[in-house]
This record gives sequence, C-alpha cells and structure tokens, in this order.
Amino acid sequence: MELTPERKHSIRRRLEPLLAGLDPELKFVEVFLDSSRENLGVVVQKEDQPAILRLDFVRYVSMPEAELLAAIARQLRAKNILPAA
Amino acid sequence: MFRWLKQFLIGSPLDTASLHEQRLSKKSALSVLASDNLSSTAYATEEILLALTAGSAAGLLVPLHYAVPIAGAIVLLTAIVAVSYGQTLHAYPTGGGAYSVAKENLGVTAALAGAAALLLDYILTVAVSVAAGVAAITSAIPSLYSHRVLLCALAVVIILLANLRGVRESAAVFAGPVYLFILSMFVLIGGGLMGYSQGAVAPPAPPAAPEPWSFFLVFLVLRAFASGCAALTGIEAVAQGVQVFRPPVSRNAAITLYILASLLATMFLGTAVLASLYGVVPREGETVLSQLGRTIFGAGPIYYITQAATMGILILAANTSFTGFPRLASIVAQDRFLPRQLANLGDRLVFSNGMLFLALVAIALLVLFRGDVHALIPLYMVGVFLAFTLSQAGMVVHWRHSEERGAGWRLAVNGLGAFATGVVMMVVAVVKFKDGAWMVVVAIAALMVLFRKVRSHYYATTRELSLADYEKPGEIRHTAVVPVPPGMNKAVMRAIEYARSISKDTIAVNVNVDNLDRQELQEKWQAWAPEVPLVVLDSPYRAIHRPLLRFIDELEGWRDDDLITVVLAESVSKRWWHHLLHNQTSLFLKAALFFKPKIIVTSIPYHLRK
Repeated sequence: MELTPERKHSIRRRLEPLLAGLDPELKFVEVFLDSSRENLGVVVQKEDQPAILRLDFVRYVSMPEAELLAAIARQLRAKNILPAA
Repeated sequence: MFRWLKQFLIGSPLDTASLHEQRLSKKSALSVLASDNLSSTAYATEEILLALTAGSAAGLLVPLHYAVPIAGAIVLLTAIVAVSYGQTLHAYPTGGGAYSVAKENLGVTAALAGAAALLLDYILTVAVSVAAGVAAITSAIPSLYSHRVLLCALAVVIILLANLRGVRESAAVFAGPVYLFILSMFVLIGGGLMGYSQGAVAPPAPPAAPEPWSFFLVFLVLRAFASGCAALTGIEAVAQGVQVFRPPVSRNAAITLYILASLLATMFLGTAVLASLYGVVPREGETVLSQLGRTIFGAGPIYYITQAATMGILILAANTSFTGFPRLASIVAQDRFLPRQLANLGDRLVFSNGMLFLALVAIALLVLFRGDVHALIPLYMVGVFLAFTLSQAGMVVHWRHSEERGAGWRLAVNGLGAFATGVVMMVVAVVKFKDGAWMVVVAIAALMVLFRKVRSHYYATTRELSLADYEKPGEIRHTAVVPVPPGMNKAVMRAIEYARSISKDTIAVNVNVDNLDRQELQEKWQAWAPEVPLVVLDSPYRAIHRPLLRFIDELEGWRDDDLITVVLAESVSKRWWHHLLHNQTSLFLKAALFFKPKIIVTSIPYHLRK
C-alpha cells in the first residue's frame, strides 16, 4: 500500500532527525503502509545493513517524540544496528 | 542441444510398455552377466602362483604344482556356490540377491551388511577391472602409461554410455568380446593339452621335495587359496540380475548360472593345469596367461587374439557391475535405505542414476589411486564372500520354514554353501587382513550406518508431512517483494503485475550498486508503478545480494504471521548461449533463498523473441 508523496515527506521529515540523533550513519530509505493500514514500515539503512521498523500507524500520528524515539531505538537495538543500552 | 546430445549418445526414450522387450535370452544374458566372473580366470591362477612363491623370500619353497589342487578346491567351491544359488533362484524367481534373501530370512541388519558388501564389490570391480585392462594396453604401448588415468576414465565412460543405451544394446555391444575370450581360452587350453600330450614341450624340471608341513606353509597355502578365490567374484551377478532374463526367468537364470560356473571351472582349472604342465611361473612384465599363449602358439596371430580378448574381458568385467550395482541399489532404494532417485528407471528402461553414480565413484577411485588399483584387489573378496554367506544362510532359514517338496535336500545344499563360503570368508579375512581386508570391514560398517541414516531421514520426512496432525491454517497473509533493476522494462512490469495480483502488500526493491540518483529512480518508478513502493537500498561495497537478502530477512520478521513471496523477473533468451551473456542474479537468489522456511520464490519468465 503506497502512501501519498506528501504523507511520505512528512514522515521522513519527522523521523530523519530522530535517526540522526541515534546514529549519524543511519539513513532513512523509504516508508510504506501495509494493506491492513495498521502497520507502518520504515526502511532504514546503516552501511549495507537495511532494517524495517514497524510502527503502529494509528498511534504514530499522536505519539510523543520521546516515545517514538524510544520505540525506534528499541527496535534498532534488537536488530543490533544500535549498540545495547 | 542437451536433448540432442543425450539422444545421440544413449538413444531415444523407450516406452515403459516395452520393458519386457528389454529382457534377454540366455546367450545374451551370459555375455552381460558373465564378464566379471570369467575375467577373473585371466588372473586367478597367477594370484595363486604369486602367493605360493611369496614364501621363497623367507626360504620356504612351496611346489608350484600345489596350484592345481588349490584350483581344484576352488572349482569345488564354485560348484557348491552355483548349486546353492540355483536353489535361491528357484525360491526367489524375481531376484534373489544377498540383500533380498537376507532381508526376508535373517533380518534387516544382515541384509544391509550384504547390500553394503555387494555394492562395495561392484564399485571395486569397475575400478580394478578397468585399471587391469588399461594396464594390459599400456604394457603393449608403454607411451600411453602416463595417460593411464585418462584412459581408465574414458573406458568407464564408454562402458557407462553403452549401458545407458539399454540392456539389450549393451548385450549386443559386449557379446563379441566375451565370447571371443571364452573361445580363445578353450583354444589355449585345448592347444596346450594337445601340445603337451604330443610332447611338443619339454616337461618342466621335477618338483623339489615337498617342504614338511608347518604353520607358515599352511598359511601360504591358505593365502594362495584365498587369492585364487578371486575366481568366484561376480558369480552372484546372475542371482542379482535375474530380472534381465526372459520368462521362465527362474529356469533360464539357473541354466545360465550353471553354464557360467562350468565355463569358469573349465577355464580356471585348465589354466592352472597348463601352468603346472608347462612350468610357468609368475614373472615381472608378463602375465601367466601371456606366457602360456606364447609358449603354446608362439608370438603369432592366435597369441595376439588371445591377448586382445583377455584385455577386452578385463575391461568388460566392469560391465557386469553396471548391471548388478544399479539393480541392487534400486532394490535397496525402494526400501528407502538409499536415495530414492536410485530406484527409478531412466529413459532407456535401465537404472540410469545408479549407473551414473557407479561410474562417478569408480572414476574417483581410479583418479585417487592413479589408475593403479592393485592394492584394492585384496579388498575384493571379503565383501563377496560375506554376501555369499549371508545369502546362503538366509536360504537355510527359508527352507527350514518351507513346506515345499524337496525343501530338505535344498536346505542341505544351501547349508553346505553357507558353511563353505563362511569358512572361506574367515580365511580371506584373516590372511588378507593386513593387505586391506580391515578397510572393507570399516567401509561395510560405515555404509550400514549411512543406510540407516537415509532411512531415518525418509521416515522422519514422511512423519512430518503426514496429514495425521494437520491443522488447517487461517487466512494466509503474505508480502510480495520484487527485486528490480534501476531501469524499468517489460519483464519487470510483468513481475510487478503478477505480484500485485497475488498480494495487496507488494514492495519493489532496488540495490543501487551504481550509486544512481535516488530521486531520479523514484520519479521513473512513479511513472510506471505508482501503487507499489520502491525501496532503493545503498550498496557501499557494490554487492547486490547482501543488502537484498538482508532486506528480505527483515521483511520476513516484519509481520509475525507473514509469508514472503519473492517474485523474480526473468528474461528467457531464445538461444542457449545468450544465457551466458546475462548475469545470473535470479539463479543465485533462488539458491540463497531456498532454505528459508517462510520464503516462497516465484519466477516470472519473459520469453525473448530474438
């Protein structure tokens, strides 16, 4: 399921600074929504290692930045892209 | 191209219904099944003489005319084994190899030991006989010696191809050399006896006074006997290959077996008697048979025909294995102790996979031993006699439970066979132990473990695939991922359309090895497939597969109950060599993804017209 370009752009604008704060080498690649419209897939990449972060699309909109940052960091640590806390 | 080559080499496929037409008359079957057994007469007498002369190094002179009673004992053993196998053929008209008989009467472990022993023997037969035949060629043409491994491999391939063409074709190809050898041996024996009776040859010096019997002398005689028992190798081929005979199979097979045993006995004993009468002793560079031929006929055409026929039969001894090995492997594979591919008949109604496997292993052995496998000859007989013993012992149990008329005397015959071959097996194992018989014991044990492992795997697979505990899954949810090149084309679009038809969650992924402008790639993509998100991955080390496979791994874990279908766009070239001009990304991806449990790979071919 493809998001509109505007929606993609706004997600990117929100997530890129958070990713850079976690690791400057972490790049935002793409974002997509699954057909259930529940899961937001955020593709990020560090060197040649891509990762797909899963965010709850409904909650994402109203999620505070700190909580969003924590959710992203937790997933990246689980995937060994970020070192363990 | 491949199909044409295959058809050229092995012929057109044969209809299953014509299987019965592939059955052979006694005359043809003899040529297929006899070569291994009869070829051993070319060297069995020499093996006895060599063993008898081995004592001279230790100062023990064993009279060489002992070779005649030793050959006589082996001929008696041949008669016992042949009559015993005759009873097996009567009881098992559909094939009574050691494996089948032992499995039914002695249990699976004994059957597997028999199968392992025979399969090893068949492999060794190919390697040893081809090497021996090539050695005969390189003796005549020494400049070929440095190419002996290649010649050996070539000989195996030629025999393989002839056999892949079908049973009837191989019988037609090989009948000539087999019957020429039989004829030449009879001419040699007849000519030799006649020449001797007419006093054409001065009798050899009278034998030295016999040594007093001692442990060492007994050991030497037993060793000579064990070496001469090489003459029996291959006699089980008739019982193993009974299915190649025309009906009534049991009767035809038994008659062929008795003819084979009679030929063997006559040729073997005749050679031993001639060697004794003419005082021939083994010597470096010329075989006993060659010495006999040269002495009796001089270096004329008959001598050269005899030598050529001997060389031919030595190479063709391998042919019997190409009949026996695939059939035995097929029976064992039907019981799931060997890969099931070995159980299937090929295009030409022969067990092609078994033949190919045998050829490959034999060539590997020949390469490993540099085409000089004399060291393998001692390995031969333990396996053969183990199979004989198990087969005969199985028949004893069979007749004990049989209510058939004549079961009593048949039991006695097979009992005698089991006892005689069992004793010989132990003699061979003891006197040849240091020469390598221990290796056979290890190899048989290893093969038996392998058989069990194969069977366990099939059993576990069957259990796991069984519907007994099947639970119907809920709705299957899956994501389709389409790896795409940087530029759009018809093949990619077809793959995208297909992916969208099977999943609402379709993602395209490109690995940007050329570091192209992302924005430009996305814009091009939006023009053709705006509904499908394109993920453009960087590849700092210019590898396509690593980032792509990692992305697919990530996608696999993204939604817990998800299946991933990787849809590969593949353009199919019209000519085979065009394939070489394209990279094989899809092929590597398929191989890499094959073992991932939640991933399905689908190819969407686009057939090019030019």
